Amino acid sequence: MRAEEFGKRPLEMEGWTVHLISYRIGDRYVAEVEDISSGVTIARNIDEVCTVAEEHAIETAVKRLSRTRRVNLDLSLTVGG
Amino acid sequence: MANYKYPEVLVSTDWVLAHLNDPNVRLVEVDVENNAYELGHIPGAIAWSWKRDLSGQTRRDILSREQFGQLLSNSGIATHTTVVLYGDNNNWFAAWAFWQFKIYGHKDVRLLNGGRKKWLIEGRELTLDVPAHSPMEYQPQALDNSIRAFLPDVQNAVQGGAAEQVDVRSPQEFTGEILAPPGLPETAILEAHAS
Repeated sequence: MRAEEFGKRPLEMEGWTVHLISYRIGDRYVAEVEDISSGVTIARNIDEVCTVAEEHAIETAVKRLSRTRRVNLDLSLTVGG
Repeated sequence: MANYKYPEVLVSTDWVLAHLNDPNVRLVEVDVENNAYELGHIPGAIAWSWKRDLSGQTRRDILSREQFGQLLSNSGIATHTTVVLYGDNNNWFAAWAFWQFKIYGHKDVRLLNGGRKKWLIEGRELTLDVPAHSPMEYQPQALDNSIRAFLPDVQNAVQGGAAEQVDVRSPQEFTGEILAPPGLPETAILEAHAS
C-alpha cells in the first residue's frame, strides 16, 4: 500500500493562501488543506470519492480560517517593554 | 543515501528504508491528527499523540521523568535503542518528542527528514499493521534543564542581549498580525508576544 495520485494546488480561503493536497491510500482518498507559511494541516477529510473528500476538507478549513482573528498590534511591543 | 552533516540527528527516507528490519531501530510516528497514522504508516512504526502521550495531562508541561520512562517502557524502547521520530505537520511534534528525549538523556534519537509527508510523496510502502513490542525496562536520565529556557531566562536574554533568539512561527505570528497559525485556535497570550 502506498500514497498515490498526489495532487496539490493553491487556493485562497478567507484571505489566506493555502494548499489543497489530495492523494489516495488504498481505496480511500485523503484531502488536506495546509497553511503555506506554517505547514500546519488546517483540515483533513477522508472519503471514497476524491471530490467529496476535497469538498469536506475545504468546508472545514473555511470554517476554521474564518475564526482566525487579524489584530493590529503596536510592533514596538516587547516582552517586559 | 543522503550525506547529512549530523546523521546522528537527521536521517533520510532511504536510511529508514534500509533499517526497516533493524531490531535496534524503533520508528515512532508523532501526530497532531490521530487519524493520520491510521490511514497508513511506515512499516514497524508505533504511534504517539503529542497531546495524549507527550504532554502533562494536568498542567501544560512536558512529561515527568516517571511518565517518560513509562511511555518508553510500554513502547518497547530501551536505553540503547535508536529511535527515529517522524510525524504529520512537517514534524512539528516529532520535534517536540525529540526535545523530550534529549531532556531525559536518551543517547540515540533522530528525526526523519521531511517527516510523514516526504515518505508519502515518495510513494514508499505503508501499512495498517500496528506492531506489538514487548515492554522494556527504561530508566530515563535526570531531567536536563540546560536545554530548556523558561520565561525568566528569555527575559534575561532579551534584556542582556546575551543570546540570539529565533522565532520559528509563521511570518504573520512573528509580526503579531495573528496569535496562532491560520485555522488553529488561539493559544498565545497577547501580552506574552515577543517581537
